[in-house]
Parts: sequence; structure tokens; C-alpha cells
Amino acid sequence: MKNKILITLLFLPIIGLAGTMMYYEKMTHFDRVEIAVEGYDPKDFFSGYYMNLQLNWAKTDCTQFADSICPQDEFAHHYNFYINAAQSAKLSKSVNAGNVKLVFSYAEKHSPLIVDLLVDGKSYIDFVKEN
Amino acid sequence: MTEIALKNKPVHDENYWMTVLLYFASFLVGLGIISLVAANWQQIPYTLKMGGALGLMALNSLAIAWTIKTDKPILKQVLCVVYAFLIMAVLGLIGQIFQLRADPAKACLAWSLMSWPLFLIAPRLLWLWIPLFFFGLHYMPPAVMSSIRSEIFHTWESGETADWYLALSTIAVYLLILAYEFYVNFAKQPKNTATNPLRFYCGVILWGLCSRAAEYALNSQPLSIGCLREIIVPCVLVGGIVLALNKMHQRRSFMPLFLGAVIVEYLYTLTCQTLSIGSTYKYFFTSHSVETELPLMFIISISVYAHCNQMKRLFKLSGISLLIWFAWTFSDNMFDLVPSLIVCGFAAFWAYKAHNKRWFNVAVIAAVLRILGEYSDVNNLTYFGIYLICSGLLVIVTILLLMKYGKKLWEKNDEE
Repeated sequence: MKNKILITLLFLPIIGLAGTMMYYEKMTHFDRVEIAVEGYDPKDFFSGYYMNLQLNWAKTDCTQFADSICPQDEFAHHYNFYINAAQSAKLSKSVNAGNVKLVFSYAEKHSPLIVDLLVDGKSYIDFVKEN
Repeated sequence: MTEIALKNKPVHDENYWMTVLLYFASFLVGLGIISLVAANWQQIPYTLKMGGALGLMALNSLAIAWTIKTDKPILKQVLCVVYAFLIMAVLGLIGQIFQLRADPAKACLAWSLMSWPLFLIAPRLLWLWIPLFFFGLHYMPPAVMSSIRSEIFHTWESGETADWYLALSTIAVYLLILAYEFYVNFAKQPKNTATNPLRFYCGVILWGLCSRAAEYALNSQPLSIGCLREIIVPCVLVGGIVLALNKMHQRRSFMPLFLGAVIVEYLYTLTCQTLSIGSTYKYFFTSHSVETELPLMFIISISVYAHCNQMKRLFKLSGISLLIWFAWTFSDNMFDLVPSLIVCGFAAFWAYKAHNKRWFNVAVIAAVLRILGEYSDVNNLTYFGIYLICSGLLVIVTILLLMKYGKKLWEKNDEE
């Protein structure tokens, strides 16, 4: 009996992690908003390659939000965008020089979730392929 | 007491150090999995990534279930360590796929919560919590430092407004530890019959992580539900663990060590403040950052405490931690491969002739690790992940072969 309980407990983390994934998957289906960013490209062993991007509200179109007001308090000051090693070099140059925006899945009273990175209006995956 | 003794029957036999190396190899495999996840393979669709990760966890769970049924404690321990790493890797994968903000404290807490069942299953918690030990070393000192420096010391120096919620929450955490220590010391329990003192120490590290979580919660969402979630949940979790383990095992107090570490950190911070030039700090060891120096001091304090209290295993563990620290901070290849192998070969030959089984095993494993070390490349995460997994598996196979055929070899040696 005790062994059966222990074995059942072993599967709890799997259920917990699957639930977490489903929660975030659901959150990606909110309205999309685009916010201008600027940043740089550090590397962290536990996080892999990412760009630490700071939101630039001065360059952001606020008409995409309710009452044309940018809800700055609902967003963090900076976000990490994870990329793989091969893309990092190309993207870091673009982020420092070009027109870069983060696309969020956004709804009121929910933490905004990043769904894409736009470089000169294109998804970063397409941008890397073309350059 | 008899029941306690039965519950804690040793999982190691005469091959103790081989078993330790086996755990180390499983640690390498786990680290390899994390490196592969960190490499962020975008060619693979995320549903497949997640499905694969969860499938791997399910397989690992089934394997642990099999070891529970067939009573194989060493293999169960190895699988539990790998499982703990898998949980961390999948948490990292979720963060990577959904582009979540990197918050190691929250990840550690989520990991602690999810790996809770392993507390009940793993025969030895020490090796299960080694990853937490290193996370604790990495995050607790800076957490203590930032809370004391920024909110109390720095306030006195500069006259700036302090975030007193953060300072008080940190102090409250330490007061709770102190209160718990007083309760244990003055309760009618024998104090010096420790069986698993490191369990409590792991609890203390978790407390340290709480202060880190509190920092996040209080900075981002003052006095909101976030505070309750970030502080109370881990406090209840850790308090539960500590109390439950204390009920199961009599233990030695670790308060002097903890206070010593806090004092060392405080003095260090004070020195950094005093020596600061503009916004740049001058460190004792100028080639390293504060994140690497504080763990060194912390390990040394543990080592001294263990030596003074004749805690041989903790002393050995701190020695291993020191070696890892040196390996971590010095990237230069200190020894050439061929001379190293000659030394290992000589040591193995000497040990065989001297009928010293332990040193023979150590020499063989050292040779394997040295060969593996030659091919490491930390700059490419995919390669490094595969390298670590292969290394771990190779070490496991070597150890299992030594365990299986070593007996025959030594019998032959005895006959000669």
C-alpha cells in the first residue's frame, strides 16, 4: 500500500508540469500587441542564449491599447527572449541597430506573454533566414 | 530508535566510493539534459519537445517504481537524482518555449515543490539536494548581501529611503530559524545523536531562498497576494520538511554555522562597501566576481565547522565542493593528458600490488574522467550537453563493470 502511494506521488510533478504548460498555452491566445524594444545579448548557462530586451514606450504605438493609453505598469521593464546560439550573432546586431518589437499576448489582469519578436516588421525566424 | 535505525539502514556496501561516483555520474547526465534544453533547438516543434520531456519523466518514474518494487536502493537513488534534474530541465524548457521572464528564485521554489515526492522516495537526500546546495550557494549569499547592504547598511551610509518591507521580511525569516533552533535546543531531546544533519542544513538553504523570493515579491507586487504566495507557501513547505525530518531524526544544531556564514557575508559586504570606488567594487580576489567569492567563503566556513565538530562526511563534502569551485573558476587545462594517464596507471598498478581496492578504483575512474575532460567544450551547449550525458553514461558503465568484474580480479590477486 505504502509503495503504491509513493509510486502515485512520482507522477504528481508530471501532472503539475503538464498543467503549467496548458496554462501558458491558453495564455498565448489573447490579443496581440506590439511594443518597441532595445537590448543586448548575454549568455547564461542555465538559460541558454537570450536577449535581454528593455521596453521602449516612447517608440510604441499606444492606440493598440484601450483608450489609447499604454498600460506601462502591467509590463515589466525588461524581458528575456530566448534564441539559439546560431541566431544570436545575427540578431544581436539587428537589435542594436534596427527596428525591433516584441509581440505580446495581452489581456487585462493577466501577465503579458511574449509570442514573437519582430525585426523590421518580420518574425525573427524569417529575418534570420533571409539574412 | 530501532525503527529509525531500520529506516536508515545504509544503502552503501563495501563499494562506498564507487557508489558516490555513480551518483556523480548521474549528476553529469542530469547536467547534460539541462545543457541540451538550454541549447534551444528550434527545428523541433515545441509540442514534441514538451511531449518528449514529459515522456522521459514518465519513463524515469516507471523506472523508479520498478526499483521500489525490486528493492534496488543504489539505482533508485541514481534515478531520483536524474528525475530531480529532469524537473528542473522541464521547468527551464517551459520558460524557454513560452518566453517567461528568467527568475531563478521562482524556478527553484517551483522545483522544490515539484520534487517534494522525492523526499519520501530517495534513500539518500544528500545527493538529491546537491543541486539545491549549489543553487543555495549561488543565490543565498547575494540575497542576504543585497537585503542587508541595500536596506540597512546602505541606508545608514547614504540616507536613502529603505524598503523596510524587504528588510523586515528577511529578518523575520532569520528570526524564525532562530526560534526553531531555540525550540530544538531546549526541547527534551538528546542533541548529539545526529543521523542526518544535512537534511536540516538543506532546509536552511531553502529558508535562504525564501528571502530571495520575498525580495522578488515585495519589489514587484507590494503587499499583494503575490507576497503571500511567494513567502508563505515556501515557508510552510520548508517548515513542514524541517519539522517532519526532525521528528524522524535527532540532529545536531547548525545555528553556529548559519550565523557564522551570515557574519562572514556581512563583513565581506562591509569590506566591499568600504573599498568601493565609484560604482565598482574592489574584491579580495580581483579576477573573480562576488558570486564566486562568497560561495568560497561559505564552503570554507562549512569546512571549518565540520572539522571542529568532527563531522567527517560533511568535511569530505566541503572538500569536494572546494574542488568543484576550483574546477569551475579556473578554465585553464592544468595537466596534460598523457602525464595524467601515466600517473593514473602507476597509481592503479601500485594499488593493485598493495591490495588497496579503493585506490585502484579511484585511479581507474580518475583516468576515465581525465580522458573525458580532454573533449569538453562549454561554448557549444548542444555539444556540451551530449558530451556530459555520454560522459555520465561512460562513467556509470565503467563503475558497474568494476563492481561486477573487480571482485574476480581481486580474488585472483589474493590467490597470487
